[in-house]
Amino acid sequence: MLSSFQRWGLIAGGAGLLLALAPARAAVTVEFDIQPRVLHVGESAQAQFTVRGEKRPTTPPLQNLPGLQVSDPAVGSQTTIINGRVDHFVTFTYQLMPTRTGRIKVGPQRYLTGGQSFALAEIELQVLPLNAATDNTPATAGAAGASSLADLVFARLTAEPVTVYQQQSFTIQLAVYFRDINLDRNISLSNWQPEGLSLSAFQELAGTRAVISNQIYNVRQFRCQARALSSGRISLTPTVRGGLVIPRARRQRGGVFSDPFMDSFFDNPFFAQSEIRPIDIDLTPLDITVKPWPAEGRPPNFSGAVGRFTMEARVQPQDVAVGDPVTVTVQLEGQGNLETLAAPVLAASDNFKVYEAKLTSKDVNDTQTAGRKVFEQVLIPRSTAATNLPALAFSYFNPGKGVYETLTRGPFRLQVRPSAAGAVAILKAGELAPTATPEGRDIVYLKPAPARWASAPQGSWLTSPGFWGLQALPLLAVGVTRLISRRRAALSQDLRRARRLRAPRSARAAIRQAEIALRQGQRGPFFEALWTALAAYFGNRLNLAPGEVSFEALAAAAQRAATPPALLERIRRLLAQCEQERFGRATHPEQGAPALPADEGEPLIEELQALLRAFERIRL
Amino acid sequence: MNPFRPWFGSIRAAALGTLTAVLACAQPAGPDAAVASNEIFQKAGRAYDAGRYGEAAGLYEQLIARGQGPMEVLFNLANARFREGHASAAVLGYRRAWYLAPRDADIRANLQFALDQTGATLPAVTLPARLLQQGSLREWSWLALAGFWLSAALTCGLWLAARRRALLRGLLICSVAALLLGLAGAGYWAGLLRRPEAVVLQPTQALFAPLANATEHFALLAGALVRIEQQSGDWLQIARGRQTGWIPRARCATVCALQSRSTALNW
Repeated sequence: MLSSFQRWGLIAGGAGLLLALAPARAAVTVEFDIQPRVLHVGESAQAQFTVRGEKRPTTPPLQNLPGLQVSDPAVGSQTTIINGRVDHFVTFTYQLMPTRTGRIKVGPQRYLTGGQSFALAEIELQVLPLNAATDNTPATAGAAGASSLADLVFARLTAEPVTVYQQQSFTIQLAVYFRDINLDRNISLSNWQPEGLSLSAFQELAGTRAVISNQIYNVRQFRCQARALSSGRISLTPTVRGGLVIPRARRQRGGVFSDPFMDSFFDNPFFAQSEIRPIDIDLTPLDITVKPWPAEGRPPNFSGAVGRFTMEARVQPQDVAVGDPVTVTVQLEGQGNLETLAAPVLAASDNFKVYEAKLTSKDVNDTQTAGRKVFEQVLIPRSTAATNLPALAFSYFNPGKGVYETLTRGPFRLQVRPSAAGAVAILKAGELAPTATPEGRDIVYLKPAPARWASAPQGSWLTSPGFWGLQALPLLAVGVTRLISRRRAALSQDLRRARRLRAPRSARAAIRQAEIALRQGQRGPFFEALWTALAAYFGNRLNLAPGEVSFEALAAAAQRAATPPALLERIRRLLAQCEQERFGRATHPEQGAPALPADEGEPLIEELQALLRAFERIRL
Repeated sequence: MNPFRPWFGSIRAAALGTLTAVLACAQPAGPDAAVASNEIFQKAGRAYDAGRYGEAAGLYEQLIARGQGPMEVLFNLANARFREGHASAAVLGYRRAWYLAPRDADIRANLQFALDQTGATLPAVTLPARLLQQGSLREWSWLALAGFWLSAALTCGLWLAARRRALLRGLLICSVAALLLGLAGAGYWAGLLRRPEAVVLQPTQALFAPLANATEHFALLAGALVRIEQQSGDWLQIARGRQTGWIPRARCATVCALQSRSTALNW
C-alpha cells in the first residue's frame, strides 16, 4: 500500500516528467478570423482569436465596433500531444451581429499578451440588406417569382491558366453557386471525357460564400489537375448534375390524434421527409488553348519534359578496373509531366559499353504533377582510356517562361585500372566473332535434331474449327449423362413407369431364348420361352405381379384402353397355345415331346413380335 | 425403330469416328518430308561447325519456310545469327524458341547472353506471370484440354456411379483445377500473341508521334524487347515498361503474333 505522501510524490513526478518532455517555451502565435464575411442583416458572424503558446492569454478586446453588436467572448482551450509535441491553444469566440448594411471593417488592431504585441490584419465584412435575403424554401422563392432556377443555382468552370503548352499541367476548377435552395451533397459531371486532356479526379475544397448581383451565394468548389496531351483548342462542355432537396408536403394536422408533442417530434429534421430531384446545373463552356512547343531554341536532346525540374547526378564507384560496372544515378525532381519523363542517358561509345537506364525510384504525388524520379544506368569502361564520362544533359520546356532550359551535370572523371583478370575485351555488338569470345562465357552449342518433324505449322490444329468442334463432345456427353441421371432418379420414384419401360427389354431376352430353343428343335423350352416373353412383357407393361399375368387381367386392362378386339383375340390364341403346349404335355407325359420344326416355330415368334409391337403402340 | 432390336451400334461407330479424328490431328510428317527436313538440319549443323554461319542460317530459315519451325531450328538459327554478329537477330530467334520451350535452360542462357551483348534487358514480369511462363502455350493448352475432357468424364461418372463417389469427387476437383490452371497459362500466352512482343533490330529513338520529325521520347537499344500496342501505316506504337512511343516498323521484328484472319501462328 502506498502512503498518501508516496502517492502525491508519484503524481508530482509524473507531472514533472510531462513538463520535462514538453518544450521549454513555444513561440506565441495569434490568429484572427471572422466567418462568414458576407451576411445579411439579422445573421451573425463569429470572430475567433486563437492564441498558441500562451497558457493564460489576456482576453482580446473587441468592443465598440461601429455597425456591430459584439457578444461576450466564449473561452475555450485545448491541449494536444502528437509524437511528443505539445500543442496548447486558447480560443476566444465573439458573436458579431450587424446593425447596418454596407461594408464594416474590423481592425487593424493590436493585441497584447504575455508581454508581446501582435498586429492583427483588417477584416472586412459585407452586410447586405434584409430584403436581399429570402427564406430557405424554394417554394416560397418560386412563388415570389423573383428568381429562375438558373439564378438560384449555376456553375462556373475555370482553368488556370487558360492558355497552356502541350504537356503542361494546369488546374481546372469547378464552382457551384447556389442560394435559397437546398442542394444535395452529390454533384456529378457527365460528358466529361475531353479528348486531348489527361485529368485527375476532382477534389472538393472548403466551401465559401460569394456575392453576385447583390445576392449571397453558397459556393462549393472542386479542383482537378489537367495535362494537355496535344496542341489545339479544347472545349470543355460538361453537364453538371445536382440534386434539389425538396421537402414533401406535411401531414394534415388536427383531428383526434393531433398531439403537439408528436407533431413537434415528427417535424424534427431528423424525421423530415424530403425528396431529391435531379437538376442539370447551368454551366458556361470553357475553352482552353493548347499551344505546341516552339520550334525555336529546341535542344536536340529535348524529350517532351514540360515543367520546372532540378537534376542531381552522381557516379559510383569512380575508381574501377576495366570491365567493372559503373553506376550513374540521376535524380530528376520538380513539377511537370513526371509520368512521361525519361532519363537523360549516356550513349554508347568506344570507351564505354552502356546498358539501358532503369527507373529505380519514383515518388510522385497523386495528381502526377510533382515529385521525384531516380534512374540508374550502368556503364562498363572498355579500356583504361575511359577516364572521362561525358556530361549528362536534360532539357525541358519551362511553360512559365516559354523557353527551353537545359540542366547539365558532369563531365565526371573516372580512375580506370587494368583488369585484374587480364585483358578482357568487351566488344561492340557489331564486332562479335567466335574467336574473340572470352573463354567460359559463350553461347550454348547447337541443339540436336528434333525427335519428330511436325507435318503442319505449329498450333494450326489447335485452332482449327474441327478441333473446337470436337470439344463439343464432352459437353454433349455431360448433357446426355445428366438426362440419363435425371431419368434414373425419376424412374426410381415411379415404379409403374419403370416397369413399362422395362417391358420390351424383358421380352427381348425371352425371345432370344425361344430362338435358341427353335434352332435346337426343343418344343418344350420353346413354348416355355414364348410364355416367359408374354408374361414378362405384359407383367411389366401392366405392372402385374409375376403370378397375376393372365388373359383375364390383360383383357380387363385392354378394355380400358380400347384395344382392338382382333388384337386381343390374337393374344388370347397365342396364350392358349402356349398353355396348351406347356400344360398339355405335362399332363400327358406318355405322349412325349415331338421335335419342333422351324416352319412351326418361326411364325409363332414373328406373331409374338408383331403382337408386342402392336401392343406397344397402345396407350394404356 | 424396332424396340426389340439392339440400338447401340451407331454410338459405337460415332466413338470410333471421333477417335480416328483425334488420331488424325496428331499425325506426324510423312517419312519423306521428315528425312528431307532432317538432312537440311544436319547440313546446317555442318555449315555452322565449319564457320559458315550465313549458310547455316539460310538452311535453318529454309526449314522454317517449309513449315518446320520447332524449337531446335529456331535456337540453332539464333546461334548462327549470333555468330554472324547480329546479336539483335539472335535475341529475336532465342525469344521465339523460348516461346516454344520456356523452361529450356540453354535458350534462357543464350538469350541472356545475347541481351548482355546488346545492353538490353528482359522485360520485368510479375510473379504469377513468371509461374505461367514455366509452360508453353501448347503445354498449357494440353493441360486445359485434358482437364476439360477429364472433368467431363468424371462429371458423367459422378452422376452415374453409385459407389466411390468421394474418390470421383476428389478427382473431379483436381481435374477442374488442372483445367483452370491450363486456361490461365494459355490465356497468358494468348495475351503475348495478341499484344505481341517485338525485338528492336537496331538502336532507335521512340518518338511521341508517328511522324519522322516528331519529338524523341526515349532511346531503345538493339535487342530491346518491346510490346506492340498499335499500328499506324509504317509506324508501330510500342510499349517498354510504362513508356510508350512510336518507331518505324522496319526497325523491329515481331517475335510471334496471331494473324488477324487465319489462326495460325505467324513467325
